[in-house]
Amino acid sequence: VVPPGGGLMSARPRTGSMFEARFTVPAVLTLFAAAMPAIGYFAYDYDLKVLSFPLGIGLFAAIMGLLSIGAEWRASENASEKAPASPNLFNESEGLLQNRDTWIQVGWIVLFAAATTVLGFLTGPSLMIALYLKWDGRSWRSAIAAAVLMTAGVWLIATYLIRAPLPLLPVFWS
Amino acid sequence: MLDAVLQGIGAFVQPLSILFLLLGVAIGSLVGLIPGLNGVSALALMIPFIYGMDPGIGLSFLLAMHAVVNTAGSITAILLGIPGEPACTATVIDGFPMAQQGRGGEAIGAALTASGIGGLFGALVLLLLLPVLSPIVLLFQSPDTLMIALFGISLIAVLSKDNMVKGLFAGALGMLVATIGYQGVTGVPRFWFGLDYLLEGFQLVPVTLGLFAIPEIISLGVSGRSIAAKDTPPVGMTQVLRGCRLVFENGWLTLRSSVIGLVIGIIPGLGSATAPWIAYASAAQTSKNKAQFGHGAVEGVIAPEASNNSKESGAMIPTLAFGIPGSSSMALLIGAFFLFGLTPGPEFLKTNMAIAVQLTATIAVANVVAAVLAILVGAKLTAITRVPGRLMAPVLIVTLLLGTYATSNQVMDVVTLLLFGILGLAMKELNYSRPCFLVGFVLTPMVETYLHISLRAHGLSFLLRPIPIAIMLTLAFLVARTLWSRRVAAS
Repeated sequence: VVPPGGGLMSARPRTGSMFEARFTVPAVLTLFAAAMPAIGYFAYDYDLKVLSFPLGIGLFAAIMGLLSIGAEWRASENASEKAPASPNLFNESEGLLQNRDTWIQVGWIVLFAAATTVLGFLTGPSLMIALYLKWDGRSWRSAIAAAVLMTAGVWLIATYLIRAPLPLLPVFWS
Repeated sequence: MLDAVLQGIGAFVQPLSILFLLLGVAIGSLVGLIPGLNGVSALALMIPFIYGMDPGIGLSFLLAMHAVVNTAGSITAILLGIPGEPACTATVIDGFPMAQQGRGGEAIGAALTASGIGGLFGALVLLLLLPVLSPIVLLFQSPDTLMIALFGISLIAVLSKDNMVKGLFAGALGMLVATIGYQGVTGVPRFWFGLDYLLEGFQLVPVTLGLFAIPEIISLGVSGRSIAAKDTPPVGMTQVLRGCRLVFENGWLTLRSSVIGLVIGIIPGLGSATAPWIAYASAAQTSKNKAQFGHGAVEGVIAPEASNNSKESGAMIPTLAFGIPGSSSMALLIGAFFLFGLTPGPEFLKTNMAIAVQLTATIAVANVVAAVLAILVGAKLTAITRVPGRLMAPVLIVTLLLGTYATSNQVMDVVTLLLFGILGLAMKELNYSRPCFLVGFVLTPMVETYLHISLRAHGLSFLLRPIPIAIMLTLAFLVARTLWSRRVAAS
């Protein structure tokens, strides 16, 4: 059983490096928030009626972003003085961003999307499910059987139950 | 009005409508059993599939599914100590000790019955309020709607878990992303970077699927483990029925908790996880067995579960009457309304009262059906929580991709899904509120449009109207109270 708060929590490093995700992610988002109104003003030359709303929100978001980075920074400085917080039910974090397996899973999702787009919505998912299950250590026989069953199930639901027909052939052919 | 009610009930009792209601109940129950996947994820996964359906049936299907997620979520909360839903967290406190004491069946019976009664109560009150909602909402003008929309955004941000700054940041980012595409007032395309896809802005379905579903799938794939332990305690039917009876013996508590859930659900942003805790606190304060709370008091299971399901009906009130999502789930549901070309709000109640009645009947019946079914098959339903994570992950990925593509047959929707999936993962891990982002994203077009209209019609004096003043005072009070309680807690 995964304990509340996530069993991966223990693997989560808590250092004060500027390059930790808790600094870099809000920094990138803050940059995005500040850049959007600037792009609107300098590149698109929007008049005030068009730009005022994104300008106001962008500036507000940028300020909030800076404040949250500051709060994280203060928290990291105080972290060494306090005992690490125990996992609780309200903390969603599972330490996934620092885990190499997370990015492997992201890679799998990207591969699923690419294969589905290139090979179509029947061959692509079947192939990828089989490869995924094989990667997970199952035999080819069970991986292929499960892939065919899963794809057929989803396909039948989409086509007949939900009535959302999906292309059999690669998307760029249709 | 009577015609609309009869028309709505007539549409509700159609065989196809009942079939999809049952399908929604089944899917919602399965989702509720899987910790990590919640009502929002379920809606996000299923919204693409309602495309092309009759609006009444499609929305009923979604609502039935969403209404019962909490019902099933209480089963894992009680048996495993793992809430199937964040809103079921309060149930763990007394439900899990009951299971440890060999009273798991009693706790499940009490939880499911309380959920069913709470949901039924909420739906009946909603049905009674529907006729008077229209005259009330017609009193509201553009400035008032604007202020309510802003209130919804602000309240969610203020109450976002334990970090106001992060909540506001997430909400503002959602609003900023929503400004991409044609501006509603002038029709000028904003920030489209030469991509035709961005002219219409980011679409709600891939955005929500990315934000909510992908992080959960990644989490399942990384852990690779089955969600639940294999030695789940067996549930005996006699015990379950004893639990059901206890709810009726605690009738006043059930009713009071349902009212708490309904009232909190009405206030945008307050409903999702707040209601069960307040109901639990109220039960603990007024119970004769205060010492038993936390150690297996059945009242500690009844109170949060009754409020949990009644709050969903409460959340429907601002959703239907004003087009303001009462919760993040309702924000998604509004997206589903848009898919059918329907816009919730005063006009919706005037022109589509039959659909509103049909949806209300769906909530009532779905809650009862889910509770009865879960009582009958509760033990067997827990089997899904034993499926290995890496067996579930590929199926969920394929479902996501098919669902996303089916929305508008655009490959760019899949790219959007992946982009927002990464963002959702980062937000989840760093505790930036994804519901705040989504509510900001959904409400921004309304806020901007009504802001322009209000300024043009009233100038800044629109802030001096009674409703905006009342809302601003309420918001100021809530902010002050939140800050004060945090200061007290910190000291």
